[in-house]
Amino acid sequence: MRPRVLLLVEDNPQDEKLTLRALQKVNCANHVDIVRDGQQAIDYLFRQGEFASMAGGRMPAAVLLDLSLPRLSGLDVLTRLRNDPRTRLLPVVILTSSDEERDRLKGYEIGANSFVRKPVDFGEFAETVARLGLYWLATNEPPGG
Amino acid sequence: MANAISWIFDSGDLAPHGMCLLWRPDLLWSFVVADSLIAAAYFSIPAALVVLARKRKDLAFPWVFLLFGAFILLCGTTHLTDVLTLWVPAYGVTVAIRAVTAAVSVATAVILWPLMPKILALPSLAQLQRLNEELRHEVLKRARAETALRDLNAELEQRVVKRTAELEATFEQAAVGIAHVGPDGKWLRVNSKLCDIIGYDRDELLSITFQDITHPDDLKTDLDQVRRMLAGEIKTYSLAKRFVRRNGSLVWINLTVSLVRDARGHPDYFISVIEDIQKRVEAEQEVARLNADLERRVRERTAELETANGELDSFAYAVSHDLRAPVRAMSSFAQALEEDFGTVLPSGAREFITEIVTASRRMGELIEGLLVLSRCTRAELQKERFDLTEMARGIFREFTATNPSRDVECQIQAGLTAYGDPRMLSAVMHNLMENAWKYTARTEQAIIRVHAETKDDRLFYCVSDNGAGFDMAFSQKLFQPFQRLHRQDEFPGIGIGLATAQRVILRHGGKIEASSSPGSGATFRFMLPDTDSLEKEVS
Repeated sequence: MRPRVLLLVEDNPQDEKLTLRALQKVNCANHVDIVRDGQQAIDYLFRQGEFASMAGGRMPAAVLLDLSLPRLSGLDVLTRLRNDPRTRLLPVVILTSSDEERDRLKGYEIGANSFVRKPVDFGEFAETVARLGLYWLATNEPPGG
Repeated sequence: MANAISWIFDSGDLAPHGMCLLWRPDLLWSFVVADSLIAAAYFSIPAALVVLARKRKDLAFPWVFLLFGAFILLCGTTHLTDVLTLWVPAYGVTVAIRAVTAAVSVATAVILWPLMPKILALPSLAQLQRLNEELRHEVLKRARAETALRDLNAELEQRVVKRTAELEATFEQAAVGIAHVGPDGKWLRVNSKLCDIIGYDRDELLSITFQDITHPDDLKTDLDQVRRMLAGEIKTYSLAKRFVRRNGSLVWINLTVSLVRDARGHPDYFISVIEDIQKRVEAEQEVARLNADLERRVRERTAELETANGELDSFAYAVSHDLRAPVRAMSSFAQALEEDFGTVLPSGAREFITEIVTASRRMGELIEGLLVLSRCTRAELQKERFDLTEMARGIFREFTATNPSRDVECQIQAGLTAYGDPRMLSAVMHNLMENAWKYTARTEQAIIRVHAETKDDRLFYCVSDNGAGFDMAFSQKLFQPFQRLHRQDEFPGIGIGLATAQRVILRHGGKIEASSSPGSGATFRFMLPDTDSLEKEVS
């Protein structure tokens, strides 16, 4: 069986690279699947479209979800996940540049498990991402076991 | 009868009376003279009585006079027969006349007694005079009373004339239109002001009804009220309505009507007071139009502002999402470059990397500052009364925790409370105290004071320090975003804190100001309108 992974939903290639670099430093980079927009995230999680072949596979340990995404926005994705029994309990961490209060409140309201703001400073960013990776991959017990 | 008459005139053998006197001339002629005088007197008295009775028609019991007259006349006649019988023995005649005289005398005497009380009851002359006097007195009194009455009447008449003239003048010269209107609506009496208002001549007006010149749309309301008043449901009514003037134009009037009833309680006439309110109505319409215009402009402006706010909102949102990522990328990749290739890079290259990192960090700070400013502009105010003293103490504790090396004395006045949005005002206090903290960095024995003072009857909250201060000549720039009065190498900063503070205070409807001079510290004071009590009352 494939080891537990995080699903990173990130449309910005630079943020993606920086995120992977930070995860690499704590040896988590191999445990990350990446999709680049909201629709892709839905397809991945519901095993449909290009991800149909993954049917039956384990759900990721957590989803690191950016908010401003092409096609479906992060909040739209979260709403869909919470409305589907397969993903209703899936841990979702909103990881975003925004620190808008309304985004944060809305995120929690529709069922985010965590809301993390991407620090602008690289040092802080790397540290935050590394902690997130370790926590959700190793420390947290997912609902599906 | 014939016998009786012959008996009277038959003297027989009787001798004349003179014979008894033996024809003595002295006696004889004494008899003749005396009896003749008596007879003459006795004939004269009845004549006088008759004349009296005839002349004085008002005599009581005139027949008594006639009776007396007859009695005296007969007595006179007896004396005359006595003279006759001196020579002629006509004793039968004498006896007959005496018999008649006796009868009349007795009758008179008999009648006189029962008549006595009636005669006595007749007023005496004195009584009559007294009565007359009283009567005269009474007449005089009556005359006086009559005069007084006439005077009073005249005075009354005069007063009525005067009063009528006054009423007439009041009616005619009143500044409002006044009219008497019949129950059928006919104008009975109108004053000239009313004619002015409606634009009709008096005569024209008196030949028509108020219904004729009332605007059709207002007629029903008026007539309804008239009906109610005639029915006794209301005593008076007042309404605004339009009259159609003679020239066809409309005039708004305010009408007040009351009803006068006659003695039997039937409607007699209406008193209508008509006030020209055309100007007022026009002014009201103008005000309404201006208000509508103003409201429309406010709506437009609000819509514009909402649009602008919406744009600002999306701008801020875009900034917070989209500008941060490139800044993070620049700073991060520069640091990654140093991490991964630092050892092979020449020292000059590493210096440039540091510049890139510094610049991008500053860029990040600027973005943060802009976002705070924009958030303070957009977020809804949630006002409440809060403990400003405790807030200031908390902020100061935060500063000392992050900068344990600084030795700053902080004097915070106890018991300060303020009314406003605590989160936003916390940002204000944070900014002001952070400035004080920052600009006292080079001051020995730095002191920061937070206190309240009263200026122009308003309570100002003050944050003062004994730090670097600033030149008041530049104070205009203090509250503008990104304007700084110190060089970056003197005191670092982005110049957004005071702009944010001012934005927050202005949004509260308050005021913020600063005073300082270089080297002697600065004081920032802000005022918040104390709407606390007002809002409490409203709610």
